[in-house]
Amino acid sequence: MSRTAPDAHAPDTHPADARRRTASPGASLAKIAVMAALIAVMGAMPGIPVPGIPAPITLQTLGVMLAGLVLGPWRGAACLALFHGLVALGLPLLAGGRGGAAVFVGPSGGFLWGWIPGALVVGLIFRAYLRRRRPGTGTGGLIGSALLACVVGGIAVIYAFGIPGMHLLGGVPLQGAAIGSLAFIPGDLVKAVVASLLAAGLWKAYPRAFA
Amino acid sequence: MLSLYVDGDSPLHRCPAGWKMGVFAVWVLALTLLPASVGTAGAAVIGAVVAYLVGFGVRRGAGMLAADLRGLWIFYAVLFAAQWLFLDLTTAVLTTARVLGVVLTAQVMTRTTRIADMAGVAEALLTPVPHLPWIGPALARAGVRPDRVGLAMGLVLASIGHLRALAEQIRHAQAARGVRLAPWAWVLPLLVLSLKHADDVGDALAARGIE
Repeated sequence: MSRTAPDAHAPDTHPADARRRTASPGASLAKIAVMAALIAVMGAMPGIPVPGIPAPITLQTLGVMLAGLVLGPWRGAACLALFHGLVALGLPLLAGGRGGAAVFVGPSGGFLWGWIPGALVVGLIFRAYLRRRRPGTGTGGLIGSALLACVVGGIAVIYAFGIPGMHLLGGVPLQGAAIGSLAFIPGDLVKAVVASLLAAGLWKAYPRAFA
Repeated sequence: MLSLYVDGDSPLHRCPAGWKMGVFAVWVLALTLLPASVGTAGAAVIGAVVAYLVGFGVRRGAGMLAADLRGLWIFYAVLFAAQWLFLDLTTAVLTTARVLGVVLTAQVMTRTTRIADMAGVAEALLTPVPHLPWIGPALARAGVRPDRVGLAMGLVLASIGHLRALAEQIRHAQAARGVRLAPWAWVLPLLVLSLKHADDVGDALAARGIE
């Protein structure tokens, strides 16, 4: 099984591989829109309070990671751009019913801007793994690569936008913004693990979703 | 669908959305890029107060401003403390005032502009994109078409209601079986059902000739 000839093992190809090339723009549009709606629904769910962390964990960054994992880089980024478009229009879709233009110019606006490249990077890393994945392999590699994708794209990239954003939009010195953001790292790591497990679960339950 | 728009008949409500958003964008950019000084901080705060008073009249505007400040003060107290800790008191006062002023002004912009008008501005901004020299054809090849953005936004709003109902059903089903799982146990079933829904929506779009 060479990496360069994925069609060589067509009979036992994972359904996701079989459908990858056939996903039409209309089907992609539907996936992007429904995923954006799912992120909105996750924002409306009550956050999970974690002892020792000032703000409760909201599920929306979990949705950002899932968008990248499930939709892939470009559709994932498009999904978040669409979501932010609706928020900017004045729909209260962010956790806690926030929305409008204000959230993008506020001190934590950089984190929101980071969602778009974050989903892109999550998708790039995870899709790079899926392309090399051999059919019939266990889910260990899948979970591991999804976790790597979520930690790099869903945490590192988002913070790489959020911390300078706090500096530019909120006037906090970079060092202080970085220290303040540390409090959210444990919660985000939990979300990365949950997102990877969910991706593995979805891979088993409904592999077509990754097409 | 709830929106953050607040009905009114003020000059801000009647002002064309495009002009309002354009002036606001320049205002935010100028205040954010200029170094923090008494001038920029004062301008931001005065601008915000004027926006509230012009948009909603003296009594209603002042009440709204007080309510917003009640909702935001903890966050900005933390921001102020961080700046005081890392910088000095004067800078902390000036930057916090500037940031709060910008955020409150954005709040008024969102509250005085109907979603349909905002969408009109977004559409007008996106219309020339396909004619851009290099980006336009590249986006078109990737299947991104600005005229699809409105359709995608409509699909998101339609899907939110459907997904909320699905989440409700899943929780009832789990409660009926006496399942007491982690707070995020309903996410995987919701994810699977959402993506099945997305495929159904994609088929429906294809059936209507939207490929």
